Amino acid sequence: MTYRDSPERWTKGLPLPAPADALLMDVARRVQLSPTKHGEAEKHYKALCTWVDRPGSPLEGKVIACYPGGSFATGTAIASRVRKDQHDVDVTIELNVPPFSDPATILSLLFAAINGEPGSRYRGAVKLNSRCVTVTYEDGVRVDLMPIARLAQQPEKAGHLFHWRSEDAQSYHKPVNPWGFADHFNRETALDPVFAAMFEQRALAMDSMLAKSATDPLPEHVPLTEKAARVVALQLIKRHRDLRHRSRRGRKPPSVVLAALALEVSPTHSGLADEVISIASHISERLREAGRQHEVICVRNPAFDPDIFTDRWPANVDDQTLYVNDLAHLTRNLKRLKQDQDTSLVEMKAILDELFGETAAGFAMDKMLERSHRAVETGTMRFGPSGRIITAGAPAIVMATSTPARASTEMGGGCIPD
Amino acid sequence: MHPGLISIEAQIAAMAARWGGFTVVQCSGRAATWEGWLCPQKTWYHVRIAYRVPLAPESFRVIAVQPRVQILDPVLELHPSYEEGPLPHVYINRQNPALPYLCLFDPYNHEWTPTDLIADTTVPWTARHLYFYEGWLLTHKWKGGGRHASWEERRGDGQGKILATV
Repeated sequence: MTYRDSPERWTKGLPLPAPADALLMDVARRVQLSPTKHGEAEKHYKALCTWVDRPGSPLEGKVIACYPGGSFATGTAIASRVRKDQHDVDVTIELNVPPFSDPATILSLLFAAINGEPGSRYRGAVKLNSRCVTVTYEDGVRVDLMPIARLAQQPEKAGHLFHWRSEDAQSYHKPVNPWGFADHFNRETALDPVFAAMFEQRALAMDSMLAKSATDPLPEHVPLTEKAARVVALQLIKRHRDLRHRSRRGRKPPSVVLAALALEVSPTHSGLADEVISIASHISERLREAGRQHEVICVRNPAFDPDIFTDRWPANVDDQTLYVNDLAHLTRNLKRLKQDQDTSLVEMKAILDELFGETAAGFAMDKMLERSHRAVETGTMRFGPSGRIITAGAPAIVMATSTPARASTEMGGGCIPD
Repeated sequence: MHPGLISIEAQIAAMAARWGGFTVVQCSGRAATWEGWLCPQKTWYHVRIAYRVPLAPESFRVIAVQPRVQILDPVLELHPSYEEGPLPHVYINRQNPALPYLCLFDPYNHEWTPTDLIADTTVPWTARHLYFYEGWLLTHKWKGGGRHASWEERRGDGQGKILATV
C-alpha cells in the first residue's frame, strides 16, 4: 500500500502525537538515510556487481543477480554514523556456481574480482571477511557483498552462503534466503495509515525541506512517512543497540534477528514509544525465556526454515543477558520520557542522548522547541497554574487545568527609556 | 486616570485570581510590585514584576511604561557564544546588570498596552520566555523567535506610535 494522498485527508481530526512520540519521530527522522544517500548506495552496489561480472574478471559472466539484503531490503537501514550520515550496505550477489563449491575458493574469487588489477578502481579498498567481501569508499560508506549460490527445489532465491575463516580453517555452507525474508518482512509490515498520517502531519508542520524530499523519493527509497510504526520502532531499537555496542567488543545482536522477532508482535497502534516498548519487551522476553532453559535463542528465517539467523549471535547466555539488560535500559528510559509532564527539557535531552546519541537527540530537541514556538505564534501554548508550559498532545486532564495566552514577539536590546 | 486604562487595583485583583503564587510586595498610588514563583519546566524562578499605571495615554510610550520583569533567582546565565548571547531578548539594567528586564513583546507594535491585564499577558509570557531560555541553555540556540528593534525604532522614530486608542 502506498501513501500518496493529500495528507490533509488523513490528518483531519487526528490527535497530535503525544510529546514523547513526537520526540521519537524526530530522532527517527535524524537517523534515516536521506534519499540522496540511498541513491548513492544503490549506485555503489550496482557498479560493484557490474565490475564483478566484467570481461576479464575471475567471475566474468557468473553474476546472476545482485540485490540489497539486510536492512536496506527491509527499509530498516539507519546511518551507522549519524553525524556524518554514514551508512553500510549489505548486498547479496548470486553467482552461477555450484552451491557446494569450496567456500575459500568462492570468497577468494570474489575478492580477486573486485580488487582487480593494480591501478583499478577498487584496488586496496577491498577486504576479505568470513562470509563477504567489503569495499570501503572514500566517504566511509561500506558495501558488504555476500556471494550465494542458488539451491535447486527450494523457495525463490534461497541458496548457500559460503563461510571460510582462515584463522581456524572454519569452512562450511549455510542455507540462506535474504530475499525471501525481506519480501516476507515487507508484506508483514504494511503501511499503518494513521501512523503515516501523523508522521506526514509532523513532517509538514515541522520541516518543509524534509517533507519535500519525502514526497519526491528516489526509486525504491521508502520515505519515512510511508513506513509502518513497527519499522520505525525497529530502527530506533537498532540505533540504541548500535550506541550500546559502540565501546564493546564482540558481535552485536544482528538486525535480522531483531526484525524477525519484531514480526512476532502485533502492532500496538498507540504511538511510537509504545511500539518500541512493545517490541523491545517481546525481544527481551524471548531471550529470557531461552536463558531460563540455559539455552541461547534460536531464530529462523520465517521464509526459509533452514536459514538460522542466530547462528553467530548469541554465542552464549551471557550475550543474551547483556542484551536483555540493554533492552531494559531502553524501555525504562522510554517510560520516563512518556511521563513528560514531569520531565524537564534537560531530562528529556539527557534521556535521548543516552538512548540515541547526541546528534539525533539534539535534532529532536531543536524540533521540539520549534514546535513550541509555533504554538506561541498560533496562541495555542498553554500554561499551568505555576506557569508550567503544557505541550500539545498532553493528557486531557492536564490540558483542562491550563490556560492559553495570546502571542507576542520577543524583543530586546538596549535599555528601557525612562 | 484615563477611563480606558486598567487601574492598579484591577491589575492586583486579576493577579491574585490567576496567579496565587505571586504576592504584592510593594504598592503605592498607581504602582505595584509583585514577587512570586514560576516553574515552566522543573526549575522554579523567583520573579519580580513592577508596574506603574501611566497617567494619560497621550503622555507615554509603551516601551517606557511596560511592566518590568526581572528574574531574581536563579540569576539568568550569560553565554556570549550561544545564539543571541550573552542573554537573549532582554533590556539592559544599568543599575544592576545581573538583573536585566525581560523583553516579552513588541512595544513598537503595541502587542501590550496598559489596557491589558498583566495576569493574562506578562506572567504567561514570562513563563514562556523562561521555557525557551531553558531550551537555549540546552541547545545553545534561541528557538523562541522574536526580533530586534530597528535603529529607527531605538532612536525614537517610532515615538509617534503612542497609545492612541484606549
